[in-house]
Amino acid sequence: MKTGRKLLHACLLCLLPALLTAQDKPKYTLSGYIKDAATNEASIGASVGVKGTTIGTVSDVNGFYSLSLEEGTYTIVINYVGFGVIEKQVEITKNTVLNFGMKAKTQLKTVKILADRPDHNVSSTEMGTVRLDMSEIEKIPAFMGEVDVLKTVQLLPGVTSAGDGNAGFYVRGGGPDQNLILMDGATVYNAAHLLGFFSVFNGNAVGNMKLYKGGMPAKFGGRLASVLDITMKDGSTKDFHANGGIGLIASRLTVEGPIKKDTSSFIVSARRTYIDALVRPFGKEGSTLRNSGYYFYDVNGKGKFILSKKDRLFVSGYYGKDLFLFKDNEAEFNIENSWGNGLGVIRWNHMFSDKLTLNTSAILSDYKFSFDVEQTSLRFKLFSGIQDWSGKVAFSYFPTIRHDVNFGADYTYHIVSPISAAASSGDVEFDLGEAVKNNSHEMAIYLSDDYEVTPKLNIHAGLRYSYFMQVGPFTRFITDSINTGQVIDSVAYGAGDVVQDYGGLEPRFNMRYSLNDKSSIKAAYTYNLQYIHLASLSSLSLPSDTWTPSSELVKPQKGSQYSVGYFRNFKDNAYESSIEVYYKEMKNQIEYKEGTLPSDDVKNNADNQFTFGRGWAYGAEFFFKKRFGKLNGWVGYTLSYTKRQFDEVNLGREYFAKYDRRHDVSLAANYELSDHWTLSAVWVYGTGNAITVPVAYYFIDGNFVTEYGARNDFRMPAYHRLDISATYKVDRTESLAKRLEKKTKRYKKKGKDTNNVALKDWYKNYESSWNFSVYNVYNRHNPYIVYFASEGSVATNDYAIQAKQMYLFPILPSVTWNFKF
Amino acid sequence: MKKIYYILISIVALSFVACTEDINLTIVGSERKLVVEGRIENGNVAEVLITRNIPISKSNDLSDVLVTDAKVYVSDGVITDTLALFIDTLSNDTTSSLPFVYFEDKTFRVYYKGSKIVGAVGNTYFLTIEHEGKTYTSSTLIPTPVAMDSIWWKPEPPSDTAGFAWAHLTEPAGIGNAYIWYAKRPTKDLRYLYASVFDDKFIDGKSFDTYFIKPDDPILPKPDTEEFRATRFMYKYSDTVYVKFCSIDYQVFRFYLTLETAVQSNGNPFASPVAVPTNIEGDNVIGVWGGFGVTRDTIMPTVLP
Repeated sequence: MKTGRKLLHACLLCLLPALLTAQDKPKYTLSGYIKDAATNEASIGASVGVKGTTIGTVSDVNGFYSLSLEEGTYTIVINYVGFGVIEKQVEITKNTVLNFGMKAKTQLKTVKILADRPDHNVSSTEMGTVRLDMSEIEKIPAFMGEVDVLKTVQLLPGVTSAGDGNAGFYVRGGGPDQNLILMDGATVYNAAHLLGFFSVFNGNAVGNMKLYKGGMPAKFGGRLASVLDITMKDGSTKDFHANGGIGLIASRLTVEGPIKKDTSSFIVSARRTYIDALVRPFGKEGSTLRNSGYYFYDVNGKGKFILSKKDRLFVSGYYGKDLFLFKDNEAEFNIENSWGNGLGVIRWNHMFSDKLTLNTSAILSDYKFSFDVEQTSLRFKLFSGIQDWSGKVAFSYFPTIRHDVNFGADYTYHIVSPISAAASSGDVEFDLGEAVKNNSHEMAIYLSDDYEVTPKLNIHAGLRYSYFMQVGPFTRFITDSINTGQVIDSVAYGAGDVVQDYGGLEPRFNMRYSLNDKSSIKAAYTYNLQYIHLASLSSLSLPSDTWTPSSELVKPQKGSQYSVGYFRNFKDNAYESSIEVYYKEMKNQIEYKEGTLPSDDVKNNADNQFTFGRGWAYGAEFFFKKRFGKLNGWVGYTLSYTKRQFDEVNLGREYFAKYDRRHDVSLAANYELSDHWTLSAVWVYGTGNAITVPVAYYFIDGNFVTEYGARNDFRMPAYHRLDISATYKVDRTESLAKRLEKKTKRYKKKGKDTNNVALKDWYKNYESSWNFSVYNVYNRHNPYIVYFASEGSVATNDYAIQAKQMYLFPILPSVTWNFKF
Repeated sequence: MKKIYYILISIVALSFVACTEDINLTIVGSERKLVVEGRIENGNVAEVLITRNIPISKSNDLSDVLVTDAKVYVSDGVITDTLALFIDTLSNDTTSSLPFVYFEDKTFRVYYKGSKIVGAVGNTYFLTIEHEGKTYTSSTLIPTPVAMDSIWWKPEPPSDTAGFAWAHLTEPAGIGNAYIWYAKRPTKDLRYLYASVFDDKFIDGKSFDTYFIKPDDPILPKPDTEEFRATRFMYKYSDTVYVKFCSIDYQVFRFYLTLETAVQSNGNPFASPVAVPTNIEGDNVIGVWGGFGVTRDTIMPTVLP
């Protein structure tokens, strides 16, 4: 394996200069923006092709595209999801700018699931990459009617969900901390609301999403397993719109419109759950139930400013919070627990020329967790958080038709506050130690080129160099290595002192070889470094889980992934299919040492409790998708193996990761029954999670103590579930006609010209729909947790241990009303 | 902390109608292991209780739990004491903290007891157990005891007759001390029961008030009554409480601290597996060999106004 990697490194290094110096015959650039004609919003990922050739590209996040063409006359074909196809003839004699305004095909009966050029599946070098548009995501039956991006991601092959009530996901055997989740370029550290029952992404605010589970481009880094790149919607620069919904447990509202027509726009989206409000009335005045509650809310906002033909400015923000209150007046016992993310992004997009564009961003990402408990005179407080201050500079350069070059630099200053605690009894403050913050710089430069060597062979090569530096102020607690980790000393570093640094090259390589215009073979290799980690003591992801940056004890995680795939489209690209196999190695993986207790992190460095090992995963993913027609959807199947080995865990023996999933099936189907009714269904199946179970028990001091068996040596029962939903779009033909009739009558009465009768735009555009969904149709009791409880008593000699399972959701029907105008 | 999330998840889950049910799982049992509870206090001889673990596959068979055919030796480095099997029937004046067992309607305890070596502060004691051809060894130190400044009873509102045991402790400066609090009510408790184990990580060199709950005897049945639940962990004003406050070394502290977590997490669906560490060397052995630096004090009954 090592020789293979060296060879790849060598190839890459030789290739890059060659790529950049490769020259073609003199050509001209055809470039421009593709926008939604109605809203002026960028059409991201629209396919731009030249009829009769294999030349083509996809518009970027700004809707910008660029092609390099020899002199001549061409037919340009633009294809964009939900907007249909535009063809336009253009004569190229010089560098030419050509903008396209796409008209939404709302009258179109079949909305095509089409996010890329029609043959993107076989023609691009992308492997292990999935792009989903909100129009696709919205069709899938949603839990309690809340459209959720993360839940949809879990339906893709190679992506494993952690089960009911969990927004976490696992990509190709990677841990939940190995996914980079970005919202408009800002890192989201905790994507879960309501302990994972919902994700932080409000469906109404999301424009589109792209998931890279393999073949990660060089512009992304810092995580081993995947990148989930979510783009928030731009507001319309033309007119005002609103949409929203009222559901059983949450409601949401989105408003958008121009700030100054055609040059600037805004969009604001908010939602809040109200289970607390629903439960409260059942409690008596002054009771615990009455005073307790749990809810979340979030707000998304984005502004877009067209400063000049060549400059655009985007400002986006997100703030969300979960709040849990528990008040027991009688016992004088109060808990206040809250956590949430705040994100802010300013991005400036500048076009130097039709060949070179620059995106510069300043980003703040902030995650805070606090926990406050009070019982009579005793008080206990916990706090943790992570704050990232980042800057990104990203260039896109199209020197010739055959090259698509990306280069740039990223920088982030991480401030990590591990769990810090304060406790007091009356006036005496206990010494729980100063919170030892972790400060670190993380930076990277990268260069990549997507190079069409011949029409059949396309190569994407990239190189990323990343560097990480932990700096003071910092206190390192020294533990007794012979004893059991007792803190015996500490070393203090001053502000700015370098505590530790790491760096390394991360080569990325993808290639596509077309067998014919319907099928291709692709291969990819990626090497990634990860400098910031999450280790959890609990078997569940909790909001209190804290991130730990690399240090002198925690070396960066290293991951290499090799994948090969066969891609084939059928029937004029109406059907897509692919088979991908992958092998992945991960080094410097992190677990807590066996026997670590939660209190061990306090007044100590969390990483003193860590132990390190390796992981590996391999599998095959099968995907088949029908893109068009009344009936559309996909089937995915994944066969996979995920293992870990740590010298100090499980007696050094290798074991299956908790989320090792032998078989994973997902089926998503959507059927357009009529103009008003749409039906959809999802069926999922997954091998049960690997868990550690008791194998024996014993008595110490008369207490019953459980003895656990080998790590993750037992399988929970399999997970499977069917969800269905039906959406009814309210027919307004009659009401519109009536309204027009009434208005005409009024005009007549007043003697006005009846030829000018027109309804207000918002009224004409107003649409509403009812969504009825049933979650877990056949009421499968899917285990959320399997645990063991003792029953009987030693005294009566009938002591026994009983396995129990908790399942969260039986069959759950829900109804949601949505509207927009 | 985890408990809080148990409450929290339950609240969320209940809002969505979560359910719990029994399931049948076939689990292969583990190898048999020796479970050792050995202790030596200053001013007392060594006591070692040896039992076996019970594989989950035969979880209601307790017939071979007690081990009575082992050879147990304790040495102070100079002389060696051979411990003899000792059967203790229910007697309330016992000073031992070892647990009793119920078997065939009898309450008794069986343990190995020393005769030659009496524990002394600052000494290290070596334990050797020979059983079924295998040898198990360990060593422990009796640390310097730290006495409480004072101990008293205080009612816990809203009650004025039930409350916790309170103590004022002046913790000696210098990190690395660990303590365990045992208490016993004469006639009411069978033996000294431990209520709390803690180290000086957060309290190093501080002088403060703290409270201790009334420990339960794990083997006694817990009445399912509101009255029992309300004052389960509290003393009555009329209680006499004997307190044995012990200094222990760090390994023994870790053992009891982890044990406490393991016991609390029994039956908690959200608990992650806790492996209780051992300071005994040998194959397939669990347990502890602990030295206890003991100080004693008594809370006398309170006269209510």
